[in-house]
Amino acid sequence: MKKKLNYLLLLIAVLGCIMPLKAQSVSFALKTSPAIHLDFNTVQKYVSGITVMNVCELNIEAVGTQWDLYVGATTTVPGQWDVTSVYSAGGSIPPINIMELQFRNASGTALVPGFFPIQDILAPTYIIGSPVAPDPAVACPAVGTNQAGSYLTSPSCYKFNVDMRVTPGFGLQAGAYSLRVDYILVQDL
Amino acid sequence: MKQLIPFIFVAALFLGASQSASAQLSDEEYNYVTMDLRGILNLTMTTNPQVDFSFKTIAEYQQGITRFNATQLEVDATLAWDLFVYANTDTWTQVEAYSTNGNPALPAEILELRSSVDNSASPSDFLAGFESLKGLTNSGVAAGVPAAATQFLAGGVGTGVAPNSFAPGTAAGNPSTHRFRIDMRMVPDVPATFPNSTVAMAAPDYAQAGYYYLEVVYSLVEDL
Repeated sequence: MKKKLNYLLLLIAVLGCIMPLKAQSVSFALKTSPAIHLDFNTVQKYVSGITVMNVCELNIEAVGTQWDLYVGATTTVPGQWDVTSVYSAGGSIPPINIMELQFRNASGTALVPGFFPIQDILAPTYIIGSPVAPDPAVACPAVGTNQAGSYLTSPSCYKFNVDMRVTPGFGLQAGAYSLRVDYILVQDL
Repeated sequence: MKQLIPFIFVAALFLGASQSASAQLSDEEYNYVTMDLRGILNLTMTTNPQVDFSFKTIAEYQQGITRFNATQLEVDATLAWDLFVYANTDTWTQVEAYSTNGNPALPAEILELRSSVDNSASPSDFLAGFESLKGLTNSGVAAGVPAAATQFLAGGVGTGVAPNSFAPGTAAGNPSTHRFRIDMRMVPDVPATFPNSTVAMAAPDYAQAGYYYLEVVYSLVEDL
C-alpha cells in the first residue's frame, strides 16, 4: 500500500511539473521579422519622413493566461541609432525617437493609439498591459484586451499590424545607421 | 527512510509547481531597420540665369543700371552649409566691339552685387551693401575651393556653427536665411571708367563700346 502511495505521489509530482507548462503559453504565430531599409535621398523625405505600412504583423496566441505586449528599440548606446558609417563631419547621431510606430487592429485594442515615438527597450512602451502585474482582465473587444485568446478566433483583438514612420528633420549627421525593434509578448505575471 | 520518501515527493511537487509558476512565458519578434541619411545640398535659381545690362543713354552711363532681384537663389540643405560667389574669369569676355577706342579688358569687379541675407558676422569677406564682385584670381577660389578672400553670401571659411556656416533647413521653412535675392548694379559713368570698381581699368582707362559677358558662379558647399 505504501509503495502504491509513493508511486501516486511521484505521478502527481511529475504532473505538477508538466501540467502548468502545457496549460499556459504565449507566442507569436507566423513570425516574419522583416528587415526594413529607409533611404533618405531627397529633402522632401527628410521633411515629411518615410512611412512604411505593415512592417510587421503580430499574431498572438495566448493560452490560459493574460498577457502583455510591449515594444522598444535595442541599440548599443541606449537612445541612439547604431552607426554603420558616416558621410559627414557635422551634425548629431540620430536619436531613436525619430522613429514612430503605430499598432492597428480591427477593434483598436492598443493602449497607445496612433503613431508614437519609440523608446529604448529598457523603458519600453506597453501596447497591452503594464509593467505592474497582474493587470485587470480586459476582454475582447475592449481597449487593452489581455485575456487568453487567439488571432485565429479573434483576429480583431489578437492580431496587430504595425506601421513605421521615420522623420529625421534637419541637423543629423549624414550616414548609415541601424537599430532593432523588439516586440515582446509576455505572460502577465 | 521509507517514511521520508512521501515528504520528498510532496516537496518535489511543491517545487515543481512553484518553479513553473514563476517562469514567465514570453515570445519575441524583431524588425531590423537600416537607415541611410544622405547629405543633400540643393541650390535652385528661381529666376532667369541671364541678366542683361544695356547702356543706351548718357543718363544710364552716368547713373548706372540697377537690377533689383536680378537673381533669386533658394537653398535646401540637410547639412551645415556655405554659399559663396565669384566671377569665373578676371575680366569680362568681349563678344563684339562697336568701336576701336577704349579698353576691352573690363575687370569682373565692375559688376556690383548686394544680397538680401545678412552675413555680416562671417569671418570671411561678405557682401556689405553693393560691393564689387571679385574676379577669379582676387576671389582666391582655386579648383572650386574658397579662401579667406572669397565673398560669402552665407557662412565663411572654416567649420563650425554660425557665423562659420548656416544651419540645415529648407528655403520654404527659413526664407530669411535660405532664400537670397541678389541685386546687381553697374555704373559705367562718362567716360566709362566704372568708378565703383575696386579694380581700376588699365590705360586707356575707359571701356571700349561693345558686347560683353561675365559668368557669375554661386557655389553651395557643405561646411567643411
